[in-house]
This record gives sequence, C-alpha cells and structure tokens, in this order.
Amino acid sequence: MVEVQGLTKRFNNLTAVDGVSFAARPGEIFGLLGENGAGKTTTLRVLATVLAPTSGDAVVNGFSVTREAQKVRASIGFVSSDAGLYDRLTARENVAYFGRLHGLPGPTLTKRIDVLFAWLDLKDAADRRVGKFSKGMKQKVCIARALVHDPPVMLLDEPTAGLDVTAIHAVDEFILRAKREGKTIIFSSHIMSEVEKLCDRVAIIHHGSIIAAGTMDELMAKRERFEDVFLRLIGGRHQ
Amino acid sequence: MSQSLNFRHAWIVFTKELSDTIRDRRTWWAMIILPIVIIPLMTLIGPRAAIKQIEDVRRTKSNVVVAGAERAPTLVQFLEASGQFNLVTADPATAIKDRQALAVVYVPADFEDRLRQEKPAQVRVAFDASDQKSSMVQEKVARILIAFSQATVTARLQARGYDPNLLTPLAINVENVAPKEQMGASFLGMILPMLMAMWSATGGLYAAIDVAAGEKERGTLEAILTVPVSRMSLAVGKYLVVVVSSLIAAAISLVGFAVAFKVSPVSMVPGQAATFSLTATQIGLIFLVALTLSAFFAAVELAVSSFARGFREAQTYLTPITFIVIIPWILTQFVSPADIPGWYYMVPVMNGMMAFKELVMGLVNPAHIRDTLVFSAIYVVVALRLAGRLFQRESVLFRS
Ligand SMILES: Nc1ncnc2c1ncn2[C@@H]1O[C@H](COP(=O)(O)OP(=O)(O)OP(=O)(O)O)[C@@H](O)[C@H]1O
Ligand SMILES: [Mg+2]
Repeated sequence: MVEVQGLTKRFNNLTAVDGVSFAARPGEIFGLLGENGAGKTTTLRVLATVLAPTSGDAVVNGFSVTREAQKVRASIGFVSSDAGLYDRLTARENVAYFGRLHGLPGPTLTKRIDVLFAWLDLKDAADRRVGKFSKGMKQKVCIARALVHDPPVMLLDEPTAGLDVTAIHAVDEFILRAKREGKTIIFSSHIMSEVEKLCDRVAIIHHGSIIAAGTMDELMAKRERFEDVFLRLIGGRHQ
Repeated sequence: MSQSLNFRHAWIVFTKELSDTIRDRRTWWAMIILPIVIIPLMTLIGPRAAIKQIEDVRRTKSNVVVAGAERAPTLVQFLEASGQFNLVTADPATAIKDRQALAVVYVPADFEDRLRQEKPAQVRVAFDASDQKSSMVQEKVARILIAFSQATVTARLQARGYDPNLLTPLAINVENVAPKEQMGASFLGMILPMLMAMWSATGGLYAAIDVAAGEKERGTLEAILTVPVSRMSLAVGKYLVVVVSSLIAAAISLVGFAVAFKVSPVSMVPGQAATFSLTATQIGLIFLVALTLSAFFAAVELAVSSFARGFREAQTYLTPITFIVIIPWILTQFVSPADIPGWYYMVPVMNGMMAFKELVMGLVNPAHIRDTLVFSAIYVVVALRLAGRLFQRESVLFRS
C-alpha cells in the first residue's frame, strides 16, 4: 500500500512536485504518466526516501517516508531507468551485496538470487562481470537487485526505457508476476501505450501536479479537460 | 533517518568495496606497483649516477690545460708527478667549453722569476662551476697547487736552516664520531617522512575516488541509498577501504625502501658507511604514526570525493594532494627534532612527519607522540564527520 498526501518537492526556486496525492493498493499496478520533466522521477525518489519532501508526506507499507525512512527502505524495491551497477562485480555479486545489506542470511540469499535470475533469464550470465553486459541484461540485474529482499512495494521509474522488444517483454512479464503475488507497484512512463498495457489505474502528472487520475477508460472519458497534454502523451504511443 | 553506525553494515560495505577495489587495475598501480618500484629506482639509480661520477674523477686522470706551460717548468713537473692529470695542449680560452679539458691553469709570464725572487706568483684556475665534474677537477688542481706551495715553503725554510714544523703549530684531525647507525638514521629521518606521507596520500586516492565520486558517476549511489543502512555506516565502510589501501601502499613503499637500503646502503648515503636498525617498539610506533597519516588522508580524500560530481572532478581536486605533502616536508626539513616548536605536532601531516623523523632517529618523545596521535585523531573524526554528512546532503548527492 502506498498513500501519497500533498507531497511537494522544491529544488531552490523550482517546484518539481507540487501537492501530489494518490494511493496505490496491493496487487495493483499504478501508472504515473507524464512528459519529460513532469516530476515522475522526483516523486518516486521521495517515495524511495532518496530525497526528503519539502512538505507533505507519503505512507509506504504503513511507514512514513519522513519519519520512518529506514522501515520504508526495507519495504521497497526501487528501479530507475538510468541506474548503474558495479562493473567489476559479477551479476550475482551485485545482487548479493544488496541482499546482505538488507540482512538476508546466506542460504536464503543464494536461493532468492537463483529464483530471480531464473525468472529474468539471467542464469547463464550470473557469474560474469556485468561491465560488458548489454543494456537489457544490466537492467534485469538492476531489477533483481532492487527486489532481492522480496519487498511488498515496487517503485519502477521507466524500467523499460531504452530496451529492445524482447527485453521489454521479459520485464513486463516480471512486473505482471509481481502483481499476481500481490505487490503494490508504481510504474512511471512518458509513453501512454506502455501505461495502458500494464497499469490498472493511472495518474497523469504535469508540471509537478496530478491533473487527472483513474482507470484508463475514465481518463479517456475526461480527456477534453486536458486535451493538449493528452494529445502529446498519446503521441508517445508511436515512439 | 537513523544516523547511527552499524558495524555489520559497515563491514559488508567494506568487504564489497575492498574486493571491488582489488579488481581495479588502477588501484594496483597506485597501491602496489608504484610504491615498490619507484623508491628503489629513485634511491638506487639517482645516487648511483652521482657516485659513478665521483669515482670517475677520483680514479682516472683528468684533462687539464696549463696556459703558459713553457714558462713554469717546475709547476708542470709537479702537476705531472702527482699522476692525477693529463696535461693537454689546447686553446685555453675554449678548452673547457669544448670539453677538451675540465680545468685551465693560467701561469703568469714571470712565474719562475718571482718564484726565485720569493715573491708571490699569481696562478689562476679556470673551471666550469655549473659542471660537477669540472668543479671536482678544480678542487683536485687546487689541492696539488697548495701542496706545491707547501713544498716550496718547506724548501725555503730548510735553506735558511729552520725546521719546517715551525709553520705547523697545530696538527688537526677531523673525526666523524656519529655511529654508522646515526648516519643512516639521519638520512632516513630526512627521506622516510616524505615517503610515508606521499604513499599514505596516493595509495588510497583511487579507492577514495571510486567509492564515493565513482558511485555517483556509475549511478549506483541512488540504489545504495534505498537500502536500510545509515549513511554513517556507508561512509565508515568506504572510509576503511581507503585507509587500508593507503596503509598497504605505505607499508609496501617501506618494504621497497628497506630492500633498496639493504642491497646498497652506500648509494643511499653517498660517500658514507651507514647502517640502520630499529627496535620493535620503534617499528610499532612508526606503524602507528603511518596509520595516523593514512587515516587523515583517507578521511580528507573521502570527504572531497563525496563532494565531487564525478570521477574526473574528484581527480582534479585530489591529485594536488600528492604535491601538497611536499610543503610540510620542506618546513620540517631544516629543523632538528630538538628545536621544533610544540605546535608543529598539532598541524596535520606535519605532526606525522615530525614524529616519523624522531622515531627513525631513535628519539622517542612521549609528549610528541601523544600530541601527534591526539590531534590526528581529532582531524580524522572531523573529516569523517564531514564525509558522512556529505553522504546525507541531497544537494551534494545529486549535484548535476
Ligand atoms: N536534483 C535536482 N536539482 C534541481 N532540479 C531538479 C533536480 N532533479 C530534478 N529537477 C527538476 O525537477 C523537474 C522534474 O524532474 P523529474 O526528473 O522528476 O522529471 P521526470 O518526470 O522524471 O522527467 P523525465 O521523463 O525526463 O525523466 C525538472 O524540471 C528537473 O529539471
Ligand atoms: Mg525521470
């Protein structure tokens, strides 16, 4: 469960996120749809406790991001589009490092990594250094790393950006599997078709504010109220 | 946000960063290859060349021109009899420049007359002061000319029936009473503090850049900040890797140096027989001082590296550190430990260098050691606090 209440984040004079509120339930994929610079990454970073909100709060898995950051961290897996890996470590070592920091005991960790790598089709590459991996493989390792502790909440910031069709399919499958397991998933994108494909409910974020939220059908019905934004986002369908 | 230090977390970070660092070729270069190779090279080859030159001049006959040789047969004969010179004929004006001779002796036209009349004869020796070999030959020539002068005095006194000893009321013998150990120690006291400071500073440089600025550049920082680990635990784990790298480099440079000293002590202290030995206590204390130097540099480097946006920027800020250590070294160079003002031991790096010098020379001053350790510890804590705090500041973490 994720509940965002009047979240605002200012950088100096720039208000990147402006009074955002929404809620995402377990077993639901919640989409954050918005153009470049709309405030998607900033919102997710606040939820992930990487940034502190200027005002407002968010409750993640029952914990406040402002007051119980460490507990929030234990409850989330955060995947960003431009996350990096330790090039000189193998895929398994990269993931194991995070697993250990999450406090997973050795045997549990090994088993969990095997399961994740099987789902993500990374088994053959597990013990190779990630430095020379393709972008798709790297992104899969990032996903395994973020979810090694099997968190109830997944924060995915454009997780398929820059991947080819096969890799996108693998990641989509993985996300849908997590949804079936009952995880709360927040998925950001600037491409309407991606959101349409995966998400149960969507919020459109524009200049830091949510201008519409609901199921895809509900949004379609209200489209004339934000015609220009909507048209540009639909344009993303053809990207 | 919990800021407390969790040792288990710090240990996990430490072991990960250590194995990551060990797989980085640059670390090997800075931590092991350079310290073990450069010092022996510097200390063996440099002085070797100087010694060879000294030996060359000492052993072989040097070319000397006597301008007006035909006017001073007595002097020429004396020079030849010394067996140290080849008297060559060349244009005195250009002989040195053309490398035909290393010194020119100008004899006045009335040399023999003035000698006979017992009047001073002006003899001029020309040489090239910018050339070490020429300077050494000049000294050799001067020694022989003085010997000629003394032989003449002796002959004159004897001719008058006086005892030549009349003119030597004192027989002076200069004797170096410094034991061989102290000769060695004094030399080591000069060079070792620099070495240790330099390698403490460089040894951990790449590790420091890699674990902080590198983490930002690779984009792994954001991920690591979403695990339930306090920033302080992260900073401490990373800090320890930098300290260990610095210490390894310092220790290795010490080993390289010890080997070079064992192999060829002469070339380390030119012209002097020097040996060197340390007690176990001294070695222990030296290690402690090396630790304070490494601890200090590591903390500063980590703080600067966490402040930088990326690898390149961190490198720009940090590379001068290796040159900056020269300044305190120069300041400590020309004072002997006994004359050092107390506040030197409160200045970072300088205190480590001074303590080093004292320890190597066998002067264990508990107050100095205490001040060095206490003040170093204070600086380390301050710098580490800063590094830890920088890991918490969003503006520093996402400075792009
Ligand atoms: N650390 C920061 N300092 C200053 N301004 C920032 C910072 N991070 C983001 N911003 C600004 O905040 C606004 C929102 O950025 P954000 O990255 O959240 O957008 P986004 O929706 O993720 O865009 P994109 O689709 O390009 O990823 C932008 O104008 C951006 O320039
Ligand atoms: Mg973004």
